[in-house]
Amino acid sequence: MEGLFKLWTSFLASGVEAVAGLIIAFAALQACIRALLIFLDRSRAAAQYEGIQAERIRLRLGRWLALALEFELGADILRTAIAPTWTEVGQLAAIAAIRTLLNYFLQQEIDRAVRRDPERAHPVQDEPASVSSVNSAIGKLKNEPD
Amino acid sequence: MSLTDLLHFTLWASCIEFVGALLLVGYVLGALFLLLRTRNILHAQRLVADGAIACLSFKLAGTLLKTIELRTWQQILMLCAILALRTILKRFFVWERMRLQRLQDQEKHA
Repeated sequence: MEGLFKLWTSFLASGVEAVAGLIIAFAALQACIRALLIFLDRSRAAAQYEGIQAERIRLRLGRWLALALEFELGADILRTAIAPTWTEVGQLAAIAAIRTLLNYFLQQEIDRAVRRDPERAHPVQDEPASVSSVNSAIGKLKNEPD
Repeated sequence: MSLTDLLHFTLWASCIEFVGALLLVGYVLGALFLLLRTRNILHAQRLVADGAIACLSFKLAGTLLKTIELRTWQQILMLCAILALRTILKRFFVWERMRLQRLQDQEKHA
């Protein structure tokens, strides 16, 4: 019976890790597509805002990665119930420590970026608005006479 | 399952830990559903942090029950190592939850 619980817990942990893997894959894909779009947009106004948009893509990717890392830490918590040997406990501790540190520094970086530019303080739902604000600024620049 | 099995504390401890695991998976699925519906990363992160804290509390309960059947130094040291790992993870998730709460409060006030 106890073995059955451990088996199911390992399945659940693998499931949670799979979800984290999917999130990382989709976030990386989204960041690649957005970066490619910026790279291919060769207009003068777009070039002026290239840095801002690149930073936004980086931060958005960072947020998705932080979420995926939390999912992975969740899986690590589940695995603490099924680590019978010292080697496995040690490996689990090392991996959990690496993920916790990565997540901590990633969050610090996001917080610093938000402090630098308070407009990014509302990170997700206003993301389209932030992009649209950049786009409207680009539009204004395009309409200005040279 | 015989009557003697029911008197094994490790079995009950495993049951409690498994309930914690199910709780975490429930929160993770909730976060995933929320992400698909609203794409609100902050809220999803907070849900996962809540789930992790709740799951760790259940696991602590299970581990405390297991201390009844500890016999050897090997078992005691192993339990200490796992408890230390869980404590560090819990501290991190509590810090994360407070940070997310602060961010969400800022979002509400803005």
